[in-house]
Amino acid sequence: MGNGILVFAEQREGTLNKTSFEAIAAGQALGSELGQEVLAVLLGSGAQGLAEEIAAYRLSKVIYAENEKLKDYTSDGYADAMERVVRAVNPQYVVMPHTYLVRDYAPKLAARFGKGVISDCIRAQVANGQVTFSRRIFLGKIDADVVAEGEPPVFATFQSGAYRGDQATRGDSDAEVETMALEVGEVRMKPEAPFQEVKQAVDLTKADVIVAIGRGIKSKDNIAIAEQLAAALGGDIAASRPICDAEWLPIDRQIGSSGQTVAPKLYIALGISGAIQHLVGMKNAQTIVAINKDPEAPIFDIADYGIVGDLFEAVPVLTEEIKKLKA
Amino acid sequence: MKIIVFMKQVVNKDAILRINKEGTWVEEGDISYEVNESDGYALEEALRLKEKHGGGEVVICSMGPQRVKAVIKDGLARGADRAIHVVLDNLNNLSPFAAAKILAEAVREENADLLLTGLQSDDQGFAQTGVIMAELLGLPHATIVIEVDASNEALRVKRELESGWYQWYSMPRPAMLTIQSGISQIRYATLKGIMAAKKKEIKEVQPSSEGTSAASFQRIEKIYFPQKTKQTQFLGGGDAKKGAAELAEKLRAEARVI
Amino acid sequence: MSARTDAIESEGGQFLTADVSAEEVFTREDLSPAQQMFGRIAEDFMRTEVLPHEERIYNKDWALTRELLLKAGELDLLRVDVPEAYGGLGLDKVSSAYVSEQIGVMPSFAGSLGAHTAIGTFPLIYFGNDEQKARYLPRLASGEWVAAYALTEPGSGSDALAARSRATLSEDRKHYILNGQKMWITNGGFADVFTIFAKVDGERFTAFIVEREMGVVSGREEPKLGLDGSSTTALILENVRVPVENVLGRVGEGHKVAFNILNLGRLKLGTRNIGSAKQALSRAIKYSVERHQFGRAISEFGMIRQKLGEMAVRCFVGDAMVYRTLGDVDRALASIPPEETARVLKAIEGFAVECSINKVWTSEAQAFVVDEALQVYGGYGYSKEFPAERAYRDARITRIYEGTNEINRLIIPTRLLKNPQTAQLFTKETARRALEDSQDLAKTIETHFSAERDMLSRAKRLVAFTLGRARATYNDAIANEQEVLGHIADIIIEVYALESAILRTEKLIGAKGEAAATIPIDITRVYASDAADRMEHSARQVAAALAKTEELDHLLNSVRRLTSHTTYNTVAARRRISDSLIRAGRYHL
Repeated sequence: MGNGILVFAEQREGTLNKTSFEAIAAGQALGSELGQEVLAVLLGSGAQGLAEEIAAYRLSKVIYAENEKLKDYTSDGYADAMERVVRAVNPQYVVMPHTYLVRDYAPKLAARFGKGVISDCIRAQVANGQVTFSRRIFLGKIDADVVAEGEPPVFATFQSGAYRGDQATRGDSDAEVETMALEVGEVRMKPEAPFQEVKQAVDLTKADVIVAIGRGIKSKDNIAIAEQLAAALGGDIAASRPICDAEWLPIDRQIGSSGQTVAPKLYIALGISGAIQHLVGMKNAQTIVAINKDPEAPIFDIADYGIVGDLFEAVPVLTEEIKKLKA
Repeated sequence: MKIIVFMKQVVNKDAILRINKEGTWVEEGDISYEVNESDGYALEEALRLKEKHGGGEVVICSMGPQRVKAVIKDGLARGADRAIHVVLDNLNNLSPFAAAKILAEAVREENADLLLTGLQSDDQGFAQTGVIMAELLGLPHATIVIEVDASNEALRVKRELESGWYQWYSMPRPAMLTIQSGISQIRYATLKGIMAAKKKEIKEVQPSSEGTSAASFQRIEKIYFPQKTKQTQFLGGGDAKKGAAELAEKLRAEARVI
Repeated sequence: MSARTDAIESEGGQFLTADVSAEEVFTREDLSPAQQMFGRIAEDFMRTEVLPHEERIYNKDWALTRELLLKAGELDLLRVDVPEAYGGLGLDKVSSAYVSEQIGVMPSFAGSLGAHTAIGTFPLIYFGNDEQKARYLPRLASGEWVAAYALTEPGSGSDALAARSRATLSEDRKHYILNGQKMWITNGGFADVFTIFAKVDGERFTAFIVEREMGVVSGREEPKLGLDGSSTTALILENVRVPVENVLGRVGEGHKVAFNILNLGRLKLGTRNIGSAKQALSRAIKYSVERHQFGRAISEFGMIRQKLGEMAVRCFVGDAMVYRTLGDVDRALASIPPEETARVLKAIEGFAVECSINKVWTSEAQAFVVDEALQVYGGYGYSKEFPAERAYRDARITRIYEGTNEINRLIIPTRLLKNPQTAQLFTKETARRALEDSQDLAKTIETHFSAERDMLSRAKRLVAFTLGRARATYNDAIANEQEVLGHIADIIIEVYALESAILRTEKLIGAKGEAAATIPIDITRVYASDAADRMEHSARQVAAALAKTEELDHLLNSVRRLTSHTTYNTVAARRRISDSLIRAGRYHL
């Protein structure tokens, strides 16, 4: 019977991923409610400094698993190393951020324990020592409460934004960093250096106003009405993934998990249903407006103002009204 | 090159969902289904690889009740050569591990050179089945793949990272890749393709009992529509133009963003 | 085998006497998985490639229309009816019509595509010789060339044989020189190949295959009420030189081409009409859910629910009719080798009555649906910025083209009297017996629809009475009595519609159980109830027109007996139908 909560902290190229702090916050929240200790683990080679950075948080220990093969991320290397750490620590819960890196290796890790991951959770609630995880299913349209069964460890990943990184509490003194030199088996894949595809000509992160379009815009010809609205507001045009996939707008206009993450003063979503991959890129906007035909569209869950109806009716009127107000 | 593509049938993206009486899943009565979006791209990638590298075989593997034949036949009509249908009535209680276990056993003897599937399903959204399968079959894998170069001995794949970053990985074959949506233009099935598909083999297999009896380790207690985190003010009462006029005023007076 | 075949070949019109069981008819629910996939390809194509460009198409961007036709060709959507030997698929009529139904969601594009694949390509398929087929069919099947059909002239519409275009043999006897004018030619602005009818030496009506290069000149685009997104022009023929090899069929036998092609066209037209109606209904359903008045979605109001319910009734019944006929035709064609085109055409011609019935009924159902759909939109229905007004305008032509509904109404009783197999059913004697016959014709088929089937069998006797009596009264002059024939046609149409609805629903109950068919059962009963009222009205008009003063009361009493029926609670039933539509968010049957 395992005990404790092991938090996976993610680093790439000598930088901690900010979702690592969200994972720490998640682990701490669970730990305090369950009355269990919280440990963190960092994998790498020559990344001792990052482990010490993590040690500033209130954790009972930071395990720094060191191996030359962990210098660059590979699923073989990470799954192997994490398996050894988990077996050594024997925790009840392994908490990880639901990043692209974790998605790549965590299922492989869990499979070695004969199970899967409770993945992409948005919440965890504790009652009577039992944790109920909530995850979004059906592209964000429905929530499911999931309980873990059987022998620990329980592997869970949390969606970006489920916990706030700035709420991870720091300890009174630094936690102990235990460097664990471990064996890593054969690594079959060879990574090349990461790169950025396009020079990000447009930096939407600095925009105050963004008018974003989704599938509901229907055709490339219709983008003009969104552009007119953006012009009236003095804002920038952006889009959800399908629009950029269709090359109706360049990729540097894409908002969401594979595009830019923005937090403008005003975000107007036109014909965007609000798949979770999009929401993570814009949900921190100050004011969110959604115009969509489908009253059940998840975008309305985070919108401050919503219009259920035809965007082709609403947008021209909105543009005119704004011009009048600004005049 | 023999390529296996795992394709899941999921509830139609535009379907109006209702939760069943027990609160454990959606009502499936008269709902419509379609192929999981990213699995469609996986099939397209497989067909392109086959065409580019002069032949081989593309085999669809799909699991579920008889209705998944629609996905299989559609894939065969687009150009896949044959299919394996793992007949299982209810997938909804299947953990990602159990699903991967059953699928891995169903194709183990095929000894394929490449296994492809979508990066995640649009219903459960586990994003794990492909990776677990790779582990069970002892294969290397890569997830969220957007480009595949199979022209050399080693497989070279481009993975999408977060925030506009990408990375190439090389790995030996056979391997499992999970494919990102939107990486290509999916071909249509043609009517001739459908006629040809009638002659293609669909092998029905029973799921391995090891898989179906695997402990699930996770169980859905209940499902429900998300609670709103924000109180949305709905404007216009169904009249979009009226809503737009009200909105302009709200943005000025309340939100003060104009 | 051949005896059976012959029996089937002349099966058309037999529905008026024979009792039909549900197992014998084809319904939309019987589409095979492959047929469903054919339809889905067409549906996906329309949704992703065509509907997003609606504005450009309706702005007469013919380059785009041609590009889309080529794309349709890549998906084999233009190959459906073309024989395999010429690059086609040679599919059955159900498949072909089901594909047309999907294309029907945008009537203008359906007009362009349908004019190409049906009346444009059919003449070559059914009347072309091997050389002609080899030259044209592969290019038409791929969409490389677009076809059009040119029959109508300024002075000859319904009276097609009155054409004035002339064909004169050149001195070297190698060409026919065509002169004249054609009107209302769909795809006229951009088609490459035309079937053009002209009279050789001003007498012998003949069909020609004419390439644009031979000198065909298009007139301006006709400004029309609807279908603005399909090209309709006149064709000007000034010394168009057509090689003698391009005579289609034989000189002097153009009428065979003309009438068979119209008949073939009508066979497929029904699914397209209902396809457009279903699109209009689905849009109206969505709008009625979104639109709020008095604080509620308008779909919650009874008046709107009655409209949606009745629109669904028409869509369901229309599908029941057209797929039934298509299934019967396919069964009749199953034993005929497709290359024996004369036998194929004869078999299809055997269903001319059903084709005319479906043409009239579905075009009028479509008219009803697009009109009510517009009404659901209220003021927005009248706005060009909403889809209802375009659907309304586009639908209007379907009551006019491919034989006006008036011509088709006349065809129905006239054909029945001309065909020796059915003519014997309508005599003075049978008319008398129809009134006297007290026993029920309906065999005791176990059915949910005992009352409806009873009424249906009496309605068939009503046809025997009205048509037999009219024939006895007018004899050879009956053709002059168009009004009476029209009323009788209306009764026959209702009989076919009602029977088809009952059969489709019975078959559905048989396959899936009563619980799965509650809405179709409601639809069938609603339709039966209203159809009985309408038949009674028509029969009374006929009786009053035919009766001598002293026998009027007697005849009206007989009509009352044959049409007596109870009234179903259609208000409640339409509410249930509409609730089910709203739950589904679209027409879903």
